[in-house]
Amino acid sequence: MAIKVLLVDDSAVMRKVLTRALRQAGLDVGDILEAGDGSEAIGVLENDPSVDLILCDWNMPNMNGPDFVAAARAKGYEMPIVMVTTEAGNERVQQALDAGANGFVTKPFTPDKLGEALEKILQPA
Amino acid sequence: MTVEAAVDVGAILADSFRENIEMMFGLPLEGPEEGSGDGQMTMSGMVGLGGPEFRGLLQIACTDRGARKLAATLLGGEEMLGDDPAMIADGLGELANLVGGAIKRRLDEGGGNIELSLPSVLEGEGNLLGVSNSERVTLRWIVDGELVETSLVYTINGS
Repeated sequence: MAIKVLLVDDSAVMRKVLTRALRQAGLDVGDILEAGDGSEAIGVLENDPSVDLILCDWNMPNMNGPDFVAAARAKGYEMPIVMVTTEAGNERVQQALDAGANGFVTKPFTPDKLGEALEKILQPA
Repeated sequence: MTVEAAVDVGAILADSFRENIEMMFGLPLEGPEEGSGDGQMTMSGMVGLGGPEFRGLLQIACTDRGARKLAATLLGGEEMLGDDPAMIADGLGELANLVGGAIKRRLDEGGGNIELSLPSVLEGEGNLLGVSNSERVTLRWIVDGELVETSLVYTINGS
């Protein structure tokens, strides 16, 4: 069944890169929603909570990635959230996981690398 | 950081740019050569890096045509880019963000503890604004036939 994905990144180009990479990775992607920062993403979720997967950047204006993750979890949204970011240090990874993210993909990435990371997270337990 | 680390900044810049062009863009890449060229750069993507010891400003400069090619490549082709100049600027800014992130990663491995700024894009001719009492490394590349200059202006330990 096709999944609905929310892409959260302040770069419109990167959101399109992610859209293309998701399809090239072979994931069954249906609707793709977009937000330019964490605050906008919260608004998208409030309008449409049926999102199956969120890909989220770290550095964004208004509300950054970790703050968005924490806010989304605090509001009860439980869908998988994967950080897709240039931030790669162990402390950053742990910070994201502590906030409630489910995984981490470092930029630059290939579609295969993105697909492998997402398949592990989306596989049923 | 030591003087040897300052010399390595050029290698860090080169490796970071090459890694992103190869992985995210997949474009043919020649270089680098040191120093600025004679090409008139008309667009620059910039990102700041700040840490307790290292502070720097990364600039990635190219022509309008080069910036268009980079953005079109990211998007999957000219037909995906259309005529939106904001997307071209966004693509160059994202390249600066990617390369800045790679530089940050490498500096952090040496204890740099670097924070990255949001990227910005400047349009118009001219090179990087000078910063007094700073070091500067500039590398020239040919990316799929287009000249691209990457510059890192930086200070270490406030020197």
